[in-house]
Amino acid sequence: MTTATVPLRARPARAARRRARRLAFLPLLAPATGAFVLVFWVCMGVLVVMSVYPFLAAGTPRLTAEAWRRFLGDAYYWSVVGTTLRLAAVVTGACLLLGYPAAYAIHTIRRPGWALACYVVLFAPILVSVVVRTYGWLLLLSPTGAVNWVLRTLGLVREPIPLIFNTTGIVIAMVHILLPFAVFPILSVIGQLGGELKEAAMDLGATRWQTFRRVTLPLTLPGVVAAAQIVFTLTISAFVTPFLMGGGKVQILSGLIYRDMEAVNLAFASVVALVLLGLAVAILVASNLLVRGTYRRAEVTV
Amino acid sequence: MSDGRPRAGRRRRDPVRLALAVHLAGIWLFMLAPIGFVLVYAFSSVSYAVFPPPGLSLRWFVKLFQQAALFQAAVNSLLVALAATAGSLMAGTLAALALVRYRFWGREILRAVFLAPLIVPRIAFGVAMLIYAIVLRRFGGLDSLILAHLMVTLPFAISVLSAALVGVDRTLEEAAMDLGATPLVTFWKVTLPQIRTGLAVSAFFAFIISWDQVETSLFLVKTDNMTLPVAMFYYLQRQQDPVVAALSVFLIGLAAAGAVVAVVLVNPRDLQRLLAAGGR
Repeated sequence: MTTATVPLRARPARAARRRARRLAFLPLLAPATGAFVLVFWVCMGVLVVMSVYPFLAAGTPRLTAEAWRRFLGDAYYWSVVGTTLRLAAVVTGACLLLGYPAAYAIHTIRRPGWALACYVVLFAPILVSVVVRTYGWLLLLSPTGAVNWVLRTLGLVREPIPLIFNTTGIVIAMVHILLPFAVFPILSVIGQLGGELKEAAMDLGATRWQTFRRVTLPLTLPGVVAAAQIVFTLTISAFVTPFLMGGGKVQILSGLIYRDMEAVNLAFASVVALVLLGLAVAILVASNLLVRGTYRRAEVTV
Repeated sequence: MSDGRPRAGRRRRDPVRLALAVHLAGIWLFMLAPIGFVLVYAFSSVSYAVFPPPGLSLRWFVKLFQQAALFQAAVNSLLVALAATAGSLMAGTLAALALVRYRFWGREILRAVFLAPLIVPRIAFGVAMLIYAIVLRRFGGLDSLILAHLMVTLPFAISVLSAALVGVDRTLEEAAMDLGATPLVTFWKVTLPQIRTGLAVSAFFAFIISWDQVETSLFLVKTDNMTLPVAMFYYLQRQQDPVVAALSVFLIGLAAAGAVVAVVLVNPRDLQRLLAAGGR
C-alpha cells in the first residue's frame, strides 16, 4: 500500500481511487464498533457501577462497598472460588489427557472417510443443546441408569455408586461438552507439523517415545496451551451443566450468580460476575505470559 | 497427507496404533452415548431413568404436544438466532474486511475490543445485560435478547471471517477493478464467492451458539417470552420426565440434518482451519 508499489505509469484515476479507499475502513468498522461499544462495553461498565452503586428496590442508589466487603470477607465465598478453580483444573486435565491422543489418532488416520467421521462424531454433539446433553448424562449416570446397571451386572459394585448430584457427574458431563474444544486446537497444530523432524529424530536413533517426548510434544505444546485456555475459561464460566449435574450440592461461582439473581440481589451478583471475569482474564494473561516465555512468536492459529 | 508418517505405522499389529484406535473408539462411545440415551428414553414408558427401560410408549410425545409454551419458545429461539446470525454476518464481514485489509492506528486495540466478549463469562454478561435492559426499560423484549446474542456471536464471526479473508486472492480483485468493476461489484462478485466457506461456517456458528444460548438469555427472558433452551432448563429443574427427551428427538434430528448439510457442502480442509479459528 506504500507509494513505492504504485507503478510510475499508473493512471491518475487509479491513484485517486486508492486515496479514497484509504479511509474506507471507517464505515466498514462502524456497525461492529457501534454494537460492541454501545452494548457490550457499556454492559461491562454497568457491572462495575452496579457492584458499588446499587439501585435497590427501596430507596435511591448510593455508593457502597458492601457487596464487595461481603464477598471478600467471607471464607465461604473463597471456598466457592476454590471449588470453581479445582473443577476447572480437573476438567481441563481430563480434556487434555483424552483429547491429545484422540487428536493424534485422528491425524494418523489415512482414509479421508474415517477422518471425516471422527470430525462429525466430535463436532455433532455441539449441535445438540447443552441442556439435552446434560439430560443425557443425568439418564446415564443416575443410580438406576445404564452405567450403574453395567457396573452391577459385571459385579464390579454391589450398591449403585453416586454419579450424579456430585462433582463426579459434573466432571464427566463437562468433559463431554468441552472435549471438542480441546481436540480442535491440538489437531490444528498437529496438522501443521511437518514429518521431517520426526523422521530425522527416528533416523538418528531415537525411539518412538523419545521422538514423541522430545520432538512432537514440544512442537504441539502451543495447541495444548490453547486447548487448556479454552477449556479452563469455559469451565469456570459454565452454568447449566454444573447446576443440573450438581443438583445444588456443588456450589460454584456461576451458581452463586444464579442464586443471587433469583433473590434479586443485583449488587452481589455483579460482584460475583466481576470476580469470575477477573479469574478468566487472570488465567488467560498468566498462561499467555508463560507461553510467550517459552515460544516466542509460536504459530498458533487459535 | 501420508508423507512424513513413520514407516512403522504401516505394520498391521503396531501396538501404538492399536492403542490409539481403541482410544478413539472409546471417544466415539463417550461422545455419542448421552445423545443415544436421550433418544432411547424418549420412548420409555416410565418417567424416571431406569435401565433397561421397562417398556415402550409414545406418551411423552403426546405430553410434549400439549406444551404450547415450548412451541412458542422454539419460535422465539428461531427468530432470535436468525436475527443474531444475519447481524453477525453483516457486521462481521465489514469489520473483518477493515481489520484484514487496512493498516490503521489502533487496529490491534480494536481487534481486542471486538474479541473481548469471548473471554467474558456469558453468565456475567447476562447479569450486566439484564441490568442494562432494566435501565433502558427494554427488559423482556426479543430486541434486547437479539442484541445480547449478537455480542456473543459477532466475535466468532469476525475471527472466522478474518481467517477466511486472509485466504482471498487479491490479484483477482485487482483484475476486476482494472477491468472497470466498482468496489461494490468486485466485493460481490469476486470477494464474497471466495469467502463462501467462511460465511457458511460463521453463519453456522452464530446460529448454533444463539440457538443454544442459556447463560446469556437466562436473566433476559420472561416466563411468557422464553427461548427453547431456557424453557428446557427450567423444565428439567422442576421435573425430569422424558418430555425433554421427546423434544430432543426433533432437535437431534435437526442437528443431524445440519451436520449432513455441512459435510456435503463444506470442504473438510477449510472446515478444520476455520473451526480452529472459531474454536473459541
